[in-house]
Amino acid sequence: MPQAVFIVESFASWRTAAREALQRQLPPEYVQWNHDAAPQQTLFADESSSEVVLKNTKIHVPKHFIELAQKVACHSDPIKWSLLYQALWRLQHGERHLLNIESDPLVHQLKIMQRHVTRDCHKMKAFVRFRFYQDEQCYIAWYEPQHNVIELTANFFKQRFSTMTWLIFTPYGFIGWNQQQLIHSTQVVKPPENDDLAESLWLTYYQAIFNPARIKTKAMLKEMPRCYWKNLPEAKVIKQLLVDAPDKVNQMLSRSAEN
Amino acid sequence: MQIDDKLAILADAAKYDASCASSGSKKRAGKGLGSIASNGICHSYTPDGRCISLLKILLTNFCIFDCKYCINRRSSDVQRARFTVDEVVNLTLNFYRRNYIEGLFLSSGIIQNSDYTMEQLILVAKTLRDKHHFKGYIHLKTIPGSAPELVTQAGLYADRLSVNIELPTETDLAELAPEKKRPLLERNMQDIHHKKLEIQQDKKNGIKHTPLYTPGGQSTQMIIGATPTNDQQILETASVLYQKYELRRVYYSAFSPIPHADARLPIIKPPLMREHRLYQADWLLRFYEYKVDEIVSATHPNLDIDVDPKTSWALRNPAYFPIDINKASKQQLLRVPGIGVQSVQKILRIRRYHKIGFQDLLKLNVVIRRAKAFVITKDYKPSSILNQSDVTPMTQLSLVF
Repeated sequence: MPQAVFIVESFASWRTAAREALQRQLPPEYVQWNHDAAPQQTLFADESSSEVVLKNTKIHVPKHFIELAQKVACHSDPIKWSLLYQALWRLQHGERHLLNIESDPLVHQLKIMQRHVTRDCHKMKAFVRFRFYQDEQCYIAWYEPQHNVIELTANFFKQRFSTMTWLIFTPYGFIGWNQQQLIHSTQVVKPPENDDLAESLWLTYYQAIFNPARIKTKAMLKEMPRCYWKNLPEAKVIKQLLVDAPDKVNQMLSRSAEN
Repeated sequence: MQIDDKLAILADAAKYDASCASSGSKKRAGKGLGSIASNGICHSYTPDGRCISLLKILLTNFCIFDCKYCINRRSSDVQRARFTVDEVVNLTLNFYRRNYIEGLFLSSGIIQNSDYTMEQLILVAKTLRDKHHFKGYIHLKTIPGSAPELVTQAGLYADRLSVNIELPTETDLAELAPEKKRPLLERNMQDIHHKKLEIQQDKKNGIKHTPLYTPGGQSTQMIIGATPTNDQQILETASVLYQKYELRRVYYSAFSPIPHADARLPIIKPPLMREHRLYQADWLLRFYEYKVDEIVSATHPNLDIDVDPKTSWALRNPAYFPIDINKASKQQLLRVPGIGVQSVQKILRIRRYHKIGFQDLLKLNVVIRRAKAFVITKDYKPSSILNQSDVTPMTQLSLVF
């Protein structure tokens, strides 16, 4: 029977609540964690989160745990809050090396969630496609990550595109850079439609670099699953490339035979 | 000719180069467009399963050489095109700003002579770096036979340089690429390597502000299946190149039919599985402490197609197994099929706290169906299959436990 209910929405708010729960010595089975899907804006405010010591208390945790928790906190599955508290509890109760034991079911599950988020960050860095928006002289993109990783990737985009003004809109809100500061909002906004001539050159390149003589669609789908396709301009030519491939190869082979 | 048409021709002409890596380089100082992702980023994938990380194009597909396997050889009647330096620079920047690519991989057919061609490639890189302050990834192909000072200059602008060895043996080269000689190709590799060592030495001697020089290292490519050369010769060539020039990567490219092919070439589908096995063997050489003669030998000169090279070695060396997961050394664990470098690290970590059981392996990313015939855990032993003297094909290895 839960003795406490905490409503959290971010790593920072979970940490505050978890600290309180520990001080009250509430074992994991007595705590219920509810996820707040529409939080107040607190992001980018707290830079102290990488500290190894949880503030105002004598609760020490391994540095790995903070790294793990920050990633897992972005996962779309709300069970994350309760799993993280279970791990925190065990770290404080005689299992200081818990995170080294990847065969432990809890650690295993948390590491899988961490991997999902890490992969999703990587895919966001790869698959965001900017379009140049003439009216505002800036680059804009609409992107749909699997987890709420926009904050985790913001610095990457800032460093890479520091000399551009850009905005990335997502179902989790948007991030942007005006060449001076990063902005972040949880407001969901659909960007204006606009065409960018560079996109047709990109499709030309995508089609020309494809080798029809070595079809490996499984390998493609493993790294670029269909869930990402709708926001990738090049995905709309994949079907036709596959339809045309056998003819192209046969032409090459028959022309080789003639020589 | 429109830029779109040029791009179609000069990307098509570049696709037979397998490399698209953008990993392992270093950040360039200063403000500007772009950054380096240490693990590289693959921005897209084409239905051939290859990734698009870089804008991979030729400056031109005009060429004075006549390499039989190459779509751009002098005697081919393929349509020709040539980019200007600014066209390549603008394409790179425009693609980069839209997050399509990590950078540029620029190669070229040889026009006028090697040095002139190399100078043109350098000019593209120099313009990107000096005029546009581009900090993204640049991979330049080294044109065979270009002067050492040009190679040095190229390495100052590029993250990676590559010299394609093209074919695994000198005989293969003589037959299919008469203008390319092995010593000439290796001289370029040596120039790159020596310059890198020189700068490392400067750094050791306390010289400050040594320049970045090919921080992403050098790589090469071999075409597989265009000649009858066996896997033993291929892997020996690769192993020698890794040692002599500290190459970052050797790429194996299954020979793929090209339009307007020369009659001396085989008319085949690309040997994709063989290519895959060569990459696996290459991995064993670089990360698993195998030697070439353990993987292939005079009596076993080609890699098995139906069994991966690690399993193949294990089946040929039954006396080495089973390995006790709770006691074995790192080197022994690395020899177990189905257990990768990362799983080995996890096993070594966990062993400090408790004994590992069979179910634990499932959580450590071990491929159980490959590993189970070769390992002992605290609660599991394989049946006697490994005592049988004859080598058993993979399909019969599925054990009930």
